[in-house]
Amino acid sequence: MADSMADDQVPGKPLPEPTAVSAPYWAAVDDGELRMQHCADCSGWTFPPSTRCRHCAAGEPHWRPVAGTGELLTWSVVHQAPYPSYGPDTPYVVAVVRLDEGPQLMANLLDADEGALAIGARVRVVFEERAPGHRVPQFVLA
Amino acid sequence: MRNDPAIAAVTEIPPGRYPDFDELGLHMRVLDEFLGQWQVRPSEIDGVLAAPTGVLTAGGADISVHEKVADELGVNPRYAQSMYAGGATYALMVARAAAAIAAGEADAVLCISAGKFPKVGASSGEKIARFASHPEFEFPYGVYIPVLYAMAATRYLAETGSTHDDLAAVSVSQREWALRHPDAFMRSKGAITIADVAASRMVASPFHLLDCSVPLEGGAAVLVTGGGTARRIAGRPAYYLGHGEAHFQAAVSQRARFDTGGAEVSSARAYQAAGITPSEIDVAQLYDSFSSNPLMYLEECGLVGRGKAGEHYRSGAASPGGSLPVNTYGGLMSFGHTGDASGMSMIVEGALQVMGRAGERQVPRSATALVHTHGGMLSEHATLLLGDRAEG
Ligand SMILES: [Zn+2]
Repeated sequence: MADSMADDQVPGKPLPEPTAVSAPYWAAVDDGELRMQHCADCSGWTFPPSTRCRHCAAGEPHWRPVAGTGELLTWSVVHQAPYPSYGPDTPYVVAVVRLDEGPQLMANLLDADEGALAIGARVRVVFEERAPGHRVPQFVLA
Repeated sequence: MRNDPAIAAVTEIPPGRYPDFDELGLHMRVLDEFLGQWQVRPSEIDGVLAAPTGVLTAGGADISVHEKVADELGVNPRYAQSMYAGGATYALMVARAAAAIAAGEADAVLCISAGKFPKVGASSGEKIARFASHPEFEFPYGVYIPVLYAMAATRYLAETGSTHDDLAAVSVSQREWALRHPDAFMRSKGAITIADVAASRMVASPFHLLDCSVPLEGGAAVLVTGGGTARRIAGRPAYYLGHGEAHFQAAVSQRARFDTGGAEVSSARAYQAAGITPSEIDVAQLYDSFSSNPLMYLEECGLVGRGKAGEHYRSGAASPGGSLPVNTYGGLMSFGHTGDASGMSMIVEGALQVMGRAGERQVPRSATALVHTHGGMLSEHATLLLGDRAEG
């Protein structure tokens, strides 16, 4: 469903530290798929992962793939990196996107021309390999 | 409110570098200054509210600062705790102190803080970035404090049609005020122009360096007492009229809205509590981690219309001689940002303006002051209303 970005591996960038609750999310990401928790009772999506639905508090929301498409809510073009592994990437874009299903994520918007950034711009997920077998979701303009 | 709670005394040490003091030591320095400046005996103080130290630095937080302050004063308070809501901590301290005084749980509550802002270097930069962001879903993407605030600023500019010139006008106005404050750290740097802000190096769009607050060290103390005691200490105290607070998602990526900072909720609650309207505000102190914050807060607190804050600044209305002066001490961008104690500075100035003790920067009409503070990454909001008469 999405591009692999194995060629763009940058050693040293932070790897997420999954918890017992979020492990299924990261396992799916490592397989190149974006999954979120969906509630059978109210049809709400819960992200970040939880043991209960954040809308109706029903237990055990189940994991379901999302399309990986959405829109740009806001962004910043970063010229000064907070830690060394992001230094070579400056200027890079940090964005918040809203998936078409509803959940919101923060990620980098890769290979984006600053002039093309606009609220509501369409985006799609890609996966960046940060360590062998370990990926993080990123986005590109669709 | 019963007992007419009021700010009776305020003291702030000049923002700067205090290499010989750790954060706790800076508290003691603030105490020395406070007791030297005001006719207050330690034995009169029966309440202490403090904030944890070490929140942003390696080594972990000390959450029993109130005990150490009480020990230093040599008192056994009947009301005391340490509390934390980031930059919003101190407006909430004043509100909690006022409630305690109204309830008869304390007669004189000392609210105190001192902070250091660790320099952004290899390990401390990463620690602050982790603290400010969601460690699992935000931190891995090269985010840190300016980026997280920039997310709201980008959206605010897009929604209102405001520009970087509007942001820069805030920096320019606040430097004008700083030139009138003897303790403002950037006073010696002289006036700046919109072009200077635009020419300063880019940090994280839309912020240039001169859109950012100045990381420094310092601290302040605010004494809240009943009205009678306050009048004896200050002559003209700053009465507590009311406050409002609102707490939103800690993780920026999960915010429901980005184009407002949350002050519209907390300020509405404050106006309702105080029984006043925005038109009654004479002077505003608006927390300014970055130049975008005062613009958003002017609008959200109902002091100007939506999208009109930039014009308020560019017309000079926020500056010395203006119709609604804002951040009359220079703000965190030109007075200085004293780490976790920064939320004290705008309360001290709001009180000094109401008390008529603001010296060269005293505004002509200062019967009612609004102080808005935020904590976290715009996640916690507290609006404080102060006036020259007790709330009815
Ligand atoms: Zn549900």
